[in-house]
Amino acid sequence: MNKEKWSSLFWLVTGLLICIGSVRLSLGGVHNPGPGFFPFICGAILAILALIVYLQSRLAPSAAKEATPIWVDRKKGFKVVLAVLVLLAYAVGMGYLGYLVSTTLFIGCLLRIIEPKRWSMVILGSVLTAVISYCIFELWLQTQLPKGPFSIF
Amino acid sequence: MSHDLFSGLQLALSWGNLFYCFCGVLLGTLIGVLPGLGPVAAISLLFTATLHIPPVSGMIMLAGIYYGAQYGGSTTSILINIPGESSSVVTCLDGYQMARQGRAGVALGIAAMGSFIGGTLSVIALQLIAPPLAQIALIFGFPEYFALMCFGLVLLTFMAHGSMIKGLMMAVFGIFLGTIGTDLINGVPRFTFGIQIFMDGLGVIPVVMGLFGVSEVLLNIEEGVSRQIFETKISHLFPDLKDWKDSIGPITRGTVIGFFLGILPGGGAAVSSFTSYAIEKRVSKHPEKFGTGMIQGVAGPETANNAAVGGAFIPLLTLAIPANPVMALLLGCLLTYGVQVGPLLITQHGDIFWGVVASMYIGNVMLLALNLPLIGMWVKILKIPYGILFPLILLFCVLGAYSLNNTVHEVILMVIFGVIGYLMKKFDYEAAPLIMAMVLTPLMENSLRQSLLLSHGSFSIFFTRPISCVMIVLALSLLILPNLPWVRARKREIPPDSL
Repeated sequence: MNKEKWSSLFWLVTGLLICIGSVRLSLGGVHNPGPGFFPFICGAILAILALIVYLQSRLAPSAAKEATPIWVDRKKGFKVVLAVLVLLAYAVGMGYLGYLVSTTLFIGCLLRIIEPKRWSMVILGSVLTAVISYCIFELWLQTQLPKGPFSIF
Repeated sequence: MSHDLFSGLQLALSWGNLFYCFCGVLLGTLIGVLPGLGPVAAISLLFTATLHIPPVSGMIMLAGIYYGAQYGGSTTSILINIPGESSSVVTCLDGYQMARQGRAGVALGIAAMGSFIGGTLSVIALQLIAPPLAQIALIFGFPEYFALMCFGLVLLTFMAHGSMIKGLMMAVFGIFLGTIGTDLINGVPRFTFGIQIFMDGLGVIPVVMGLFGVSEVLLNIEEGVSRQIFETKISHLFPDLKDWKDSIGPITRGTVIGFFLGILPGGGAAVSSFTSYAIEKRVSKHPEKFGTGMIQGVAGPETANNAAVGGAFIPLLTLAIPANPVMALLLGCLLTYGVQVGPLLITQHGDIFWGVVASMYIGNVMLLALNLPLIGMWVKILKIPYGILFPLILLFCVLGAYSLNNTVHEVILMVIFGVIGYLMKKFDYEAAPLIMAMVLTPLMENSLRQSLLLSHGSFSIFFTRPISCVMIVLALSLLILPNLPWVRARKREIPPDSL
């Protein structure tokens, strides 16, 4: 995969979208710049630089052939995807289940799925982590952690 | 009320601030020891805990994390040949070899003492240079500020590890991210897509934690982190007379190099340590022996990376220009505390300036006293498998993001930027220019718009005012320099910025 080609195309499209969005906000004029003025300059420069990188990647195809692949090991790449999904599920789930339950599940998932540990360590580790972190952040630092449906603590 | 070093010492020596200083330097050393978590991620995690304490105490602790990490990074470089921080990469070259020769103690000792000397001397220089520089900066107007920020960003991308064009792209994208939110002049929401939490902007902390903390963990999950600790008896921590004789030159040079490179945007601890190593090799009578266990290869870089810390505080505390991502984050913290940043900080918030300066003297003494006796503890911590560490790191990231506003939106934002940061690393885009630009954007945009109002829309104002003109010309020169072959070769040798 030619990393430079695809990433530069992404940034080119991003820059153009920023320019379009900025025009909708109103550019104003150089005498009295509008809200879209500064973002438009950013979008335009981003698009121009992305185009330069894209052209450089097209002009140096031999370098692209020697470039390292993005993901060397698909299995490990899948672990990254899993970790992100677990993180997002944790973030969303915290509001519904409360901090203690969701953190226990979160740590448990990471300890078991990503780099599998024994079940005893998974259960003990996740419960201890949730309880100790709750004591530090909720009780000591007075952070208002989500209570969830139980609202016991 | 006027402030000076004496009043700063009174502040710093209060029991509360001594405690915060101690926490900062201890945590900083721990961060420096642990690969996978750097001072940027650590400061952003602990920032929310400092919202309940006075700003000067918060800054004392957060600053302690930064220079503490420079001490801690050398431990892993010497003992396991893996740098805890990017600023300790070159210490691996000779430090690990010294450990293999049974001189781990001497290497650790000279690294700690060099760090103390470099750190302390740079704080003295900070204390002497910053106040008059702040006075000079008072003559800066909007055009000068805008030009200075442009120069700073271009210099940062010039000094960056990879392609300058890609660095500039990230800087520009960072500026765009900084514009998201309500336009302060027109009151119009920009690129918020109707999402309420974006009305005040994206928020530096979740973005930083995602780009630097979460992305690093994701990368380590994929690539794996394995380390083998060189099992050796660590003794003779105090260098002998010959070791001091061999080290005094590198320590002196490292202090000067580190301090001045630390001032420059894009300079910082990593570039300073690398430059110091290169210079020691050049001036040595036996350059061929570098890489085989030369004490000069440890003394110089470790002094330089700590001296860079003092230098980096100068543009932050006098001009509100961050020289590296850590300073960018500290700038964000100061703004959140409600502190007026810029040349007036020293006069209007003298307690913060002198309190932080005084605490850095105390912190460096604490670090020297702590580091050597606690080496056994750091080695034990290094043995904790990464499979157990990374869930804790992610948990702290989530808690740090959540506790900003007690909502999950910042957590989701952090995760999104974690994925973005991970992809950026995969496609060789650096995050440092992005975050620095994002932090500078409100000041930069305001300076540009005010300048154009002053000049009735003419961009020539940036060229008719001498200071602004010089900055713009320098920035343009830096855009051309990377195309020179010898500059391109040198840049490839510089390691990526510290996380």
